[in-house]
Amino acid sequence: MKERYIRRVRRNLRVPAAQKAEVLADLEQLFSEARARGESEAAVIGRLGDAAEYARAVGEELGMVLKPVLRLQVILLCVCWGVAVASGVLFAVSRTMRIPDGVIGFAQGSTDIRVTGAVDAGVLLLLPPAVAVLLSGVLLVRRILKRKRSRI
Amino acid sequence: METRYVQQFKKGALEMMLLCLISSKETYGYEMITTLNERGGDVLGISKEGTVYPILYRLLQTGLIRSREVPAPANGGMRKQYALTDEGRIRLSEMIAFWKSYAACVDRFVTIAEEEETEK
Repeated sequence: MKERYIRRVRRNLRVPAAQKAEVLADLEQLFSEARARGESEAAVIGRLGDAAEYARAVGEELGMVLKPVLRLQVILLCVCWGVAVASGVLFAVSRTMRIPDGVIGFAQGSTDIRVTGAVDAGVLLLLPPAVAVLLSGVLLVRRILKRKRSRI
Repeated sequence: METRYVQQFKKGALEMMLLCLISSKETYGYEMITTLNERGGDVLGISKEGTVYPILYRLLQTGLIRSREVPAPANGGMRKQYALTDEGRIRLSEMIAFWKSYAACVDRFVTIAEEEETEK
């Protein structure tokens, strides 16, 4: 019963590893002390409340529970930066890529073919990083302003 | 079933009451809960580990209290004892000062409202 409870708290607790270890060790101590007083595990669990609810309460007090809007912003930023990094890597590769010697269509000497008026599509790969930086900036400024307003 | 405002009052006051208990002497979770229930159970309702421990974690995180492991004679294991830090002591005096002026302010409103009610 105790093991199951602690397992459920571990599964639902969203705090850094060190804090999680501390909370779980405290639970072990709590059950052990209660046993020494002659209390049942069920009585302790009754006072602790539902395991998921206890884990949520601890996370909330430690400021680890993200509000829905903030969570959405974090997800959006993660996706945005994921795409931005991938685009940046592709852009870097496209700029440094060397055509291997002897490949079909490869010319040893210079040719007189000139491409004019074409758009450098590779530059488009810089768009996602730019959007990510812009979005991060906007969200950061909004957050700072919101925090300032809440202090007034 | 408690009304929402009663729950809000209790939640706000519990943190200060815990700091008061810890300021008196180094203490541990079960002792704090027992004292809370002895001194305020009739008004606060029964305090439980599920309510008290999450607040203790926040007080630890914010550096207002500190903890140390001491041997627990009852079960031969270890027990966590909590003590107030210097910062916690300063914060508690600020809280107490605010609480006193806050309570006095609310009392003024209550007294006037009660007097006006009697005059009607």
